Amino acid sequence: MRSPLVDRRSFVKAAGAAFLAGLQPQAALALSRADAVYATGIRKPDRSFALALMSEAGDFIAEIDLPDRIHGLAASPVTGQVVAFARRPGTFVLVFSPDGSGGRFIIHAVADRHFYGHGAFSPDGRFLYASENDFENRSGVIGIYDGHDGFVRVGEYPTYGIGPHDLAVSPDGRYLVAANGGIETHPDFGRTKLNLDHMEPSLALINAASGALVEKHALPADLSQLSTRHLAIGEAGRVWFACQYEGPRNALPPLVGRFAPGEALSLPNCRMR
Amino acid sequence: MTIGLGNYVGAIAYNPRDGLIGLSSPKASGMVVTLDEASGELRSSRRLADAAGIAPARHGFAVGTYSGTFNARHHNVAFDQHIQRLTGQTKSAL
Repeated sequence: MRSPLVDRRSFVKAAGAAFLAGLQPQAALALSRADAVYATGIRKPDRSFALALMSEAGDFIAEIDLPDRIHGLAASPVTGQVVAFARRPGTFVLVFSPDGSGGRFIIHAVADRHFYGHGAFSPDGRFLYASENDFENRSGVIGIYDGHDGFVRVGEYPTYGIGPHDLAVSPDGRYLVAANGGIETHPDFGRTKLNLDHMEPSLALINAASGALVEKHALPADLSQLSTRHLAIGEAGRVWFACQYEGPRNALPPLVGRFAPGEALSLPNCRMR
Repeated sequence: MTIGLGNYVGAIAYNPRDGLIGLSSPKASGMVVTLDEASGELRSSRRLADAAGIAPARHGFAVGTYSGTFNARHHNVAFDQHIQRLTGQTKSAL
């Protein structure tokens, strides 16, 4: 049987050619004059997808057509390269330099993985980490791509949970943080959530050099349907996480929490209405 | 806050210059919330229909919406769930 993921892979490989064609020169010029620049996915009136570069005032600087919908983005703190991750269960990651200086790359998911839509660079810009699904083994992995070698996939680490979504890297580069949302999906069933009655969401702190588990913070049993999804790194490497709740609509779970490496989770806005 | 967010936070960002965590949710009526990074206390909340992506701005946060707003401007597109700031990402540069 030809799986939906195989169709998606073929489509992206054909449609990605336009992306590789490059930025218009006038867009690169506008970019050099902008103060603060933001990258975000957009859907245009004709329902097609693009990546937009926006000024802080909210004006378009440039627009890059995309083969499919993206989700999360990341920027290299060293090279300025921008990456856009396909929305789950996506099979591509786009890499480009907004100023047109560097090359463009399309990273295709390896055969038995798909992307979850998020990733992050190491602080030295060398490695790109992507959250991925090892769907036959129902486990989350972090794909590791070498920015010094055309973003070839050089390895992977476990996320020590199911359904990783966002990834973050500690400011010193020693730790990777995976938000294991706990929701099982399989590309044969699209975005259908397969295990809402027995989720085990967690946050995993992983040694960036070895892939070893440093800390795993499971959510308490009464919050097992609180899917940990998005991350921000605060002061001194403190990890903030934001959630979506898969339980009863009338429940009032906390939706945001934080922890510092070596400390327990706290949910400071617990029950705040 | 839980009610206003519709049990869902779609994106989170940190503005180190302001010491603020920003949260956005397109659910319920749509909401943008800021928290004090150090204390975790609520600093502000405002309704914003279809609030999607959020990223640190010079002051506060840049926010995009599914209905076409990006900060002060409106466009005939849907802005998607995440925004990445490309310049001035370090504390000193912000």
